[in-house]
Amino acid sequence: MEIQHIVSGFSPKLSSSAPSIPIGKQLFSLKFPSLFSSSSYPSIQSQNFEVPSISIGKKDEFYSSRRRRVRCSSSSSNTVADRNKGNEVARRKKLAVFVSGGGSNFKSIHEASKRGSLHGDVVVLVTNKTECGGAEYARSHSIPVIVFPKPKAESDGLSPHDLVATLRRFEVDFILLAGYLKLIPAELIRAYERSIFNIHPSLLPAFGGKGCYGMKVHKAVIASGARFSGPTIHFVDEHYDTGRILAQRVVPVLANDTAEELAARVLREEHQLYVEVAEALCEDRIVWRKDGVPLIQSKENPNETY
Amino acid sequence: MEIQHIVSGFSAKLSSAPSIPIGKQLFSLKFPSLLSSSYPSIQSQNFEVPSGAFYPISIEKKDRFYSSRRRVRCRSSSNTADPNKENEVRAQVAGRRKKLAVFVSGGGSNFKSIHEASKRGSLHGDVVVLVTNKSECGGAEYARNHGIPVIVFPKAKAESDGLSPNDLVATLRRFEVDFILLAGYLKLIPVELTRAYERSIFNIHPSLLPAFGGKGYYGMKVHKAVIASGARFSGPTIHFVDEHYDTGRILAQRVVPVLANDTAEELAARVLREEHQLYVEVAEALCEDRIVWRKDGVPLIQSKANPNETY
Repeated sequence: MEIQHIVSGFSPKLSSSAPSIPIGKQLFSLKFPSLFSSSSYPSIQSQNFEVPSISIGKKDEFYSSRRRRVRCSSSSSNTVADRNKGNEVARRKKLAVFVSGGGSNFKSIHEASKRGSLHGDVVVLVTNKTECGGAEYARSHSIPVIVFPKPKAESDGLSPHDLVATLRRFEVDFILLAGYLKLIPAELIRAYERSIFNIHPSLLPAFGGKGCYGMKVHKAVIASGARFSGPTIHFVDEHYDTGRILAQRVVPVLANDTAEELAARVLREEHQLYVEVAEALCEDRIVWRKDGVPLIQSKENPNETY
Repeated sequence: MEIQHIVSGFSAKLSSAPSIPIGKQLFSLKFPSLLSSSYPSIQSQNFEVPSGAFYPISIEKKDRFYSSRRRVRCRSSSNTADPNKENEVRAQVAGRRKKLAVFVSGGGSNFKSIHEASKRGSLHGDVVVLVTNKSECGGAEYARNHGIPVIVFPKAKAESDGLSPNDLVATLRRFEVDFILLAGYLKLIPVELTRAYERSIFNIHPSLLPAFGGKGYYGMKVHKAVIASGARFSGPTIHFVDEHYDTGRILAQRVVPVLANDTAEELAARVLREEHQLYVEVAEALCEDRIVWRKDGVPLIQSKANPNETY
């Protein structure tokens, strides 16, 4: 399998976008995503998790189609002068986060942004519950809060079009739903095609859909006898939990788990996974397989996808 | 939490193990090994496989659990100098070998695994009859080569004679079948059979149910659907059989990764390796009466090494 790279000329005057590199046939080696969080497990007893990594030769099916913006490393050395001349590093992305509840995923993402591992910033929080934990946290950290939708009793409030216009004014690149319980209006989905993501606390397509949220999911998992569960991050379309899956992690369901214990175990994975996905988004590391399944390009090795 | 064991007297003449009511017990939990030993053989790789590795977690028991199946292996406390006597006692304690019926429609690789385990002695049971709707399928050929009677059910529509569901039940009863294992059987089990063998019929499905299950989801179609969805994990599920496709309570699962460049065939092969191990493990548990029920009706497997562990 040949590696065909066509690197177009890199002009230092280009401001915000990296040069496009069409990715033709490439050798993909595959990283096996770590199944379990590295931190401690049900913290009842210490344990020993081994995470395997796999290298596998590529098949002809893959290319990155739509997102051509890939980081290009200039062949010249990375001097300060170079940096001043050209924006080797793309601009920081602007994120909108939608929450209805405590906002623990939002906090994770915000912390990653603050400490620098996330190449983006949460510029606005949207919530349907103005007093929720996520909204309080946003206000404490000077992130503007938008309430949408307003409760039915109130006659004024943002229409879906208003919301779209507002997000556009904030120059939002990506919308991350992190425990937002309202259905996203079609206007928003059309305006932000392939830029809206959701996290769901089960291995979709199992235990998803209307009515499947929060603790109800974990209760259903336990009642079914399923031995595994875990978070799923997926693109958002007009229905609940049906968009293409972008990332998952797996946790065991133990014989004597309560819903709360399982929820806590899944939540730990959610935090890590959403930060990992957000980092990939902000670094333009989402690629598409021919059949439409989105993949994440590894940071260490751009030839690896998972 | 106290351990309350009431051990009734052990009589050497009893053929069944004495009953030990399991009251409040400390359960420690075994984390089932996730991955099989060797992996996609395309390139050498670096797999750390927690094969057979246990991650015992001691968790105090909640009040919800009890075993409805009271037959638990009991060790005699006396030190006998006579090994023969010990074996006799052990054989009685383990119970008679179970009789299994296996239903297949295709190649029968799970059937072969189970049969091999029976032959080598790790399975305390025997496949006494094979049922198939395809008289020439791989599973049926293998059965005939190994002296296992083959029943065709249901017969093809063109043929007027054939076993009715009640006939099938009667036949299985004559064979004294204890458990029915569906291993790639594509016909719906008739309700007469599910009523006659309540909680004794098991099926294996090549996805993590409830995902990618139900009518029409079989064989390669399952793996294609998994890949198309973008799911990053899959794996076999063994579940009890009720009157619908793939809806009975889940008894066991294993998980495998779905890789970014998997074909359906590659994923199928990876899942199949897990199926073979899992079905043998479950069959062994069945033949040793190690299935217990949680209060909410979810079936659990009692660990062989440690009867206090369930998974």
